[in-house]
Amino acid sequence: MKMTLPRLISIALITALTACSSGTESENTQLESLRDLRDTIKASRAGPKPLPPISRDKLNQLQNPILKVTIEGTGVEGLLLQHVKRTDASAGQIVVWRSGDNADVILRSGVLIGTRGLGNDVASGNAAMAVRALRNRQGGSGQRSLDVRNDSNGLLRISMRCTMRVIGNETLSIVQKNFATKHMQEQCDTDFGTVTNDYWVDSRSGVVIKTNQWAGPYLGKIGTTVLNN
Amino acid sequence: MALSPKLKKASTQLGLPLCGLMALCQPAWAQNAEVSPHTSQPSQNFYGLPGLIDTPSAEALPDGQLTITSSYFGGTTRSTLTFQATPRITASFRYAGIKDLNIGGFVDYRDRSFDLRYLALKEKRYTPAVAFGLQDFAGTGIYSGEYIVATKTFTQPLSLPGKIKVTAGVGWGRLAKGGISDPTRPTFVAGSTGGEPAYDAWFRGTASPFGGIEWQINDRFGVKAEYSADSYDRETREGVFDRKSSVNFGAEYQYSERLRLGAYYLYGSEFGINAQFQLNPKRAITPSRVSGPRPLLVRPARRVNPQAWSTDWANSATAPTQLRDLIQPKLAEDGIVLDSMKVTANSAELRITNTRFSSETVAIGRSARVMAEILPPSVETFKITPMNNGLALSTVTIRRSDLEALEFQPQAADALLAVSNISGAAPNLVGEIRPEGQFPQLSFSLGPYIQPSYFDPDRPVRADAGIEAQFNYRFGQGWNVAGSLRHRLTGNIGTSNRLSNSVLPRVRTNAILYARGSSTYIQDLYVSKQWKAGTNTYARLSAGYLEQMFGGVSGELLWKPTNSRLALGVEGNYVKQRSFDRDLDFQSYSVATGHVSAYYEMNNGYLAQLDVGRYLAGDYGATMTLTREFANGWKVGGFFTLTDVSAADFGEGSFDKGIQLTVPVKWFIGSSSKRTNSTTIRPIQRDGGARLNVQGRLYEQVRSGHKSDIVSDWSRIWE
Repeated sequence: MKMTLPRLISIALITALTACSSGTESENTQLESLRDLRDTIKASRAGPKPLPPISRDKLNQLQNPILKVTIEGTGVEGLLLQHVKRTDASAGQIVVWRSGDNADVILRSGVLIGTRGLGNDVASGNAAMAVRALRNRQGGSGQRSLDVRNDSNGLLRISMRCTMRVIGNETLSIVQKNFATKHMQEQCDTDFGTVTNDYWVDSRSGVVIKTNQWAGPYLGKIGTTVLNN
Repeated sequence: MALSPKLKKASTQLGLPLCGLMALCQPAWAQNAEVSPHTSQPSQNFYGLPGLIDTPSAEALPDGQLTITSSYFGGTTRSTLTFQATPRITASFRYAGIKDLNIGGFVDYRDRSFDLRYLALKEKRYTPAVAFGLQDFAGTGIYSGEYIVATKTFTQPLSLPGKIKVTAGVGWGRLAKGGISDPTRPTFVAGSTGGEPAYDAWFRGTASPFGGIEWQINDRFGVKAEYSADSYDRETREGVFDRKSSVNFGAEYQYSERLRLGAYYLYGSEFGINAQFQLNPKRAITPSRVSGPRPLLVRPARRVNPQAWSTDWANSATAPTQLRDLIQPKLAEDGIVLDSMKVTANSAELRITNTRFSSETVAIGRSARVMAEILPPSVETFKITPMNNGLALSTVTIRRSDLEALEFQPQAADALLAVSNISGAAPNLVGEIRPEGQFPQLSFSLGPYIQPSYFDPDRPVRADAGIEAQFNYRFGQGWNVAGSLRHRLTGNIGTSNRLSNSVLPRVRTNAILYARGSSTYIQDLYVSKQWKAGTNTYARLSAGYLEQMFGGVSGELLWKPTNSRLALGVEGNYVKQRSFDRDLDFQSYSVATGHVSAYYEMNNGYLAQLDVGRYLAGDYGATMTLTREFANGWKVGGFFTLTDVSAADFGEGSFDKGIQLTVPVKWFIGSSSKRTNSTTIRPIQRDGGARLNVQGRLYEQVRSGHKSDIVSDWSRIWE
């Protein structure tokens, strides 16, 4: 039987469409690889979904804080819910924020110390100097670090020499509500050049309500805004 | 794991679905060599190595880089797979076709060749890079040549934009005047068996200079000009093309990070094109993305709630089964199967099979989170043992208080590794409880298959395709009945008329007769049992239709301590050749074959394997395999086998050799998957040095759960 390309493709398509599998094991077959590829193409074609409109009324009805996250490099936005809140031996309140599709952004008193499920995630970070400076709403300087996951199951260890300074008082409007804040800015020297992180601290509560922080060379900048606190 | 009900409720209150971050995140590549590599990777020549147009340069590719190039000019097509095996060693495998070059009785000449290049000196501020190269050093020799070459890069010279690379070198053989027909050099014999390194010809005969300039104008465009001494005398004599000049020109365009295209004018008479595709296993097409893990629940402090820390629960006879019934479904949410467990007042061990994550480390971390969620506070020591079909691979011991303290600390993964322990796992867990209804486990699949066949001189790529049904039936710990049935719908492997001319027992060269056999056939069908004979010893027995050409019995014993770089194994098989219809029948040929094997994990991800023994055709010898393994699952390796079969009896190629490639599916799709695709490419398949392809060899089954693999992925423990 002579094989032509169209014939081969149509047979592959027919069999792929009628293919099935079941059981406790993940089969290492050509079929499964084809399926994975199809799903990936589908997902990449779907394009970013715009955020639904949010009103202050709706936010006021909520018991649970909401964090709006923007990945600057791709323009992807998401609304995340507070998933875990705890403290440990280091200073600062840890909050794990989680999206509907189980991606996490982890902040220690507003300072980025981790992400999960984004790809090339921030595995861990040293936030001590920034947490201290934001709590005191005063400048400061010190050594910080970020561990970023690379593509071969290892880490890219980025050490950062950082200086925080006070920019001044600013009023932020977040979903039809104004907040009096202190704008603080951190500049960090890294092997990837100098990067800038911005923080806005609520003047009344002392909570870091908005930030724009560098998450390593792969993800770029991540913006976070607490919509209701 | 999914959102908790509380969070789901909150999102419903919002009146809107929660928006996802994960589905669409692609990395924003910063302009840095570590993450944005194409500006630092050299362009390639028509032979698929870093170079100008038809001549080489002294540059090396970025470490680990894998490239495929396809070039055409003047009736000559060259397709080359190149691998930067170490920062200094570049290795290539090439398949070339020369139209209308009738030598050795072929209408169009087709040939396979291997190249090696060694970067002797790296480029410094004032000194150039210097490299030595061997081209076609083990083929039948049509491209054989050697060179010493230097390349210097100048950034923005004379106020010009971009970079200029100047290359100059000296070549012998193909790279010199007179080429492979040089009378002062051992001669090229078309149609000889080839395959053996032609030491006697290297760097001998006439030497000629070559060189040129590449101007990389910006990130996208580059131009090249070179002087090539290759006289192409065989091709011009046979009228393949006219060679009127030694100077070649070209322009190249970087279409994307991984693809570069070029157009050229060569030898004063021919237009040429070259497509260069480069990728690096260290940089995934889609970065790995794993959903966020369940929260690690922290126990109440003992002084705050001493009652919670009571150990009275351990006196209850039903406590272990109750805990099992809580743990098992939580593990299942992460694709982790509970094999068995044991729990006491202060310590617990889970034996688990990871079905989802490419790395056992992720499964270990997630199991620890489930333990922290379910087990009473008095349980302080967590032991987690990854399993593979009845084989306990190693035991990771973590203190619960370390998990609680370190999750959000700087360098959290290193900090946890420093206080954790990875040790050999006992064959059986004494006092274990098992899930109910654990066996039997049945899996099956039905889908398409494609079986390719390469390098037939009449048609370089052939393939059969059809549908395949597979099943696995595990009816007890370590027991497995598996098989696959195929129905060929179409294909042209069987239409080849190049039937075997082998003088050895035809253990592999009858592939065409198999392809002409029944269109519905049993690919394999066997029963196997594997178990641990001791803490560091593994055993396997298999019987049945073990592979598509042979059936029989197979036994294997492997010694591999979890913390050892060295493993030793012995395998013995008695097999009979299967009928061409691949039904239940056998042919008359039978053989006892087996090997003793040594495996050694070297530093930096290289694996060396030596197998010594008797092969399928009854020949005695050894196979040496060297593989570069990337932590994300990519493997690129090469092997060769020398046996007591003479080169003449072996036939074309003189001895068995080839390339092995393993690509993890996850690297392309990003999401969790254990699946990999593996291929072995042999320049030619003959009967000498052929091994049985029995399924379920032990070494690859146990390694992913041993210390070096777990540690190399340890950064994923919190994922």
